[in-house]
Amino acid sequence: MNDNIIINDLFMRKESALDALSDKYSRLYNDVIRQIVHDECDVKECANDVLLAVWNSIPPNKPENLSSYVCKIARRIGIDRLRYIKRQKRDPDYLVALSELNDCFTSGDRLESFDDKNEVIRTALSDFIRELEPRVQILFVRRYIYLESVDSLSKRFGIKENNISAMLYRARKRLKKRLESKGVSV
Amino acid sequence: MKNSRDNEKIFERLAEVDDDLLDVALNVDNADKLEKYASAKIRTKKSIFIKPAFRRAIVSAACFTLVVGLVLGGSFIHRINNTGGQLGGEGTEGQETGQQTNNDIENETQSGDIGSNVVELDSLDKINYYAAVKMTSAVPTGLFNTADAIPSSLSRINYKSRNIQFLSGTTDNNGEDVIETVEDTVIEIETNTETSDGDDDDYLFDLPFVITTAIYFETEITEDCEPLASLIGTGRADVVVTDLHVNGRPRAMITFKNGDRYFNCITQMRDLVQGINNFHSNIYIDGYDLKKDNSRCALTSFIIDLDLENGEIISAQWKPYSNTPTTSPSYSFYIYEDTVKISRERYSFSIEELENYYIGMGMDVVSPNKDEDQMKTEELLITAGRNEIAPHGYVLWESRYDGISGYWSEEQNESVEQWLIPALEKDNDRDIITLDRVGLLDMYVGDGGKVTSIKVYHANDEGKIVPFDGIHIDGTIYSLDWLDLGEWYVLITVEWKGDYIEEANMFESCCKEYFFKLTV
Repeated sequence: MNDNIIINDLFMRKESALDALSDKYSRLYNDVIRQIVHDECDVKECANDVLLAVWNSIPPNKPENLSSYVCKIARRIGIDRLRYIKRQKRDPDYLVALSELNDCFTSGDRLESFDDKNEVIRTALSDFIRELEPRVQILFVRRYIYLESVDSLSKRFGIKENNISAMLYRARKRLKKRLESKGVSV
Repeated sequence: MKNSRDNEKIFERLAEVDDDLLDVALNVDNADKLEKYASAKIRTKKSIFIKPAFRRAIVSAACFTLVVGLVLGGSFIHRINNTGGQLGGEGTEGQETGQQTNNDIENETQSGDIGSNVVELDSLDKINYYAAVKMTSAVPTGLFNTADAIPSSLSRINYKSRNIQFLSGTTDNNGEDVIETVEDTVIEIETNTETSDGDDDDYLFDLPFVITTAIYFETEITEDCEPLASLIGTGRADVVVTDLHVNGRPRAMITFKNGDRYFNCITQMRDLVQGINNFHSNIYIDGYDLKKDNSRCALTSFIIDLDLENGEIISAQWKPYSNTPTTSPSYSFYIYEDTVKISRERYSFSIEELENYYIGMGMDVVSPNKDEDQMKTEELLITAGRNEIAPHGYVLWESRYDGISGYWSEEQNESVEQWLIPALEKDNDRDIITLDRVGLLDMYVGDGGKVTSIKVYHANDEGKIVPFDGIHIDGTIYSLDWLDLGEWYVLITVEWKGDYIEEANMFESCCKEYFFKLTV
């Protein structure tokens, strides 16, 4: 079914639009989710959440490219699910990655008015990551967004663990400076 | 105290960064893809930092040339590329994409490599190279430079003794230029066994390096220049020459750089001198170790004739040792005269400072890492209450079995009594690893080590550091608990027994001296 027809049906709140969406793109967004969370039960749950998220967001959104839109939603849901799982299990990777971010703060004071600066932070973080050296960029995103362990990164890319740790350490230091320049840290 | 809720907030925001960043990280899922991604990103890196005055000059020249080019219908983009002189290249991506702006010039290095914004400081020869580039305000092809040659006056940091130090004026040049006897041996002369007593992540960042003479120039490596051409490729290469000391003995290092390939060799026991300087290919830096390998490069030398007073290079050649049977011809280097730069301003720096310098210029820096191969467990650890130090071990002698030739080789050095103590007497401000005795002393010796002597020294009224025999030393560290208030120097000698070589029925072994200051 044509994407425009699916979108129109969503606007008209026809549930058949979800069936059509699933028929056309389930393999695609399942693959995206599976790259992030590997357990099939979690993948299925996330896939259902994707359909729900699309239903709730169209309208008012009217994406120009439906497949990209669906993948974007799938990825966010996958990441949220991954973080939830790791947080619940008190997964060491999650805890270690979280503690590593201490390097991004100058002092122990709370981040004041952090919530007011969400967009500033998001943009600053995006710009920061984009400016990283390519290898560091990939490692940084995989480590702190996809929560991949240093050991796994080392095996995946054939880089020594100590080198990865050092590269991430420097990146965190630079992130701290960037956040300071944006008036985020205290 | 850090707040984990703040960490979680950053965590959450990280997950909301731009989708393309998330996509690409997910898709780059193996080493090949990572390398391709990295190469592609480097090729599309556009801007080069150019000092404002220089930028204005380029803009003016570019505008003029553009007008002339339009009028004449010539290849004006090619002329713009060549206007920058040292920055220019034969072809540019700007030429292909048409994205040339007044402030941006895209270029490729003369050597054919794509310009890189990555600065590697993960081995001694690279640190040497990038420090020299900074000192001389060189503008290597593809590298950023602020054209500010004045080295900053840096405060001295706590000295942690290392194998290999860039030092000047602290020891005497023995004045000899010894041509090595040909031996088929591979000898690891010194190894880096230093450890940190601070934050592991910051190890190596506070070590002071000092360079007093740095020379930079660019040369052309052709296919005739073997073995260098095979090692680092042909084309235009950067070369730096600096002085350094190893275990108190003066040496100088030459480092060739072609793109991301480096090659270095070291002089035999002498500083840089006016006139002929002979760098032996069988002595070189590998990571943080000084190595000697007579099979390396078929025993050749890089010989450079320097006129340090006038800042000129008279000649540079690559040739085999005179007493080897090889018939490899000599190769005379073509030197790009307008690239020669010599700095004789003393430059003291830590790796972090050098790193910050290049980060400040927008470079991505690869710093030294704590590597298991480099960072072995402590050989000798001295504790005093809550304080502890791991003094550096200076090799006094070592014996190694040579599996190739079948005989033992020995390397003998001067005792620290002969070079380090006199250096301390000369330079009161020289940093030395120090232990503040806040509790009873204890000592841990690594496996295979045996303490053969402990000596104590102190400074007399004339400032001379002389042996102190006011306490009885029974060969254990505990006897030093009897030392009175004051400053003392301690020299501990340890013999290490290494691998057992059954064929030769002997053990590899070495003897090291550990020297530190003890304050009571």
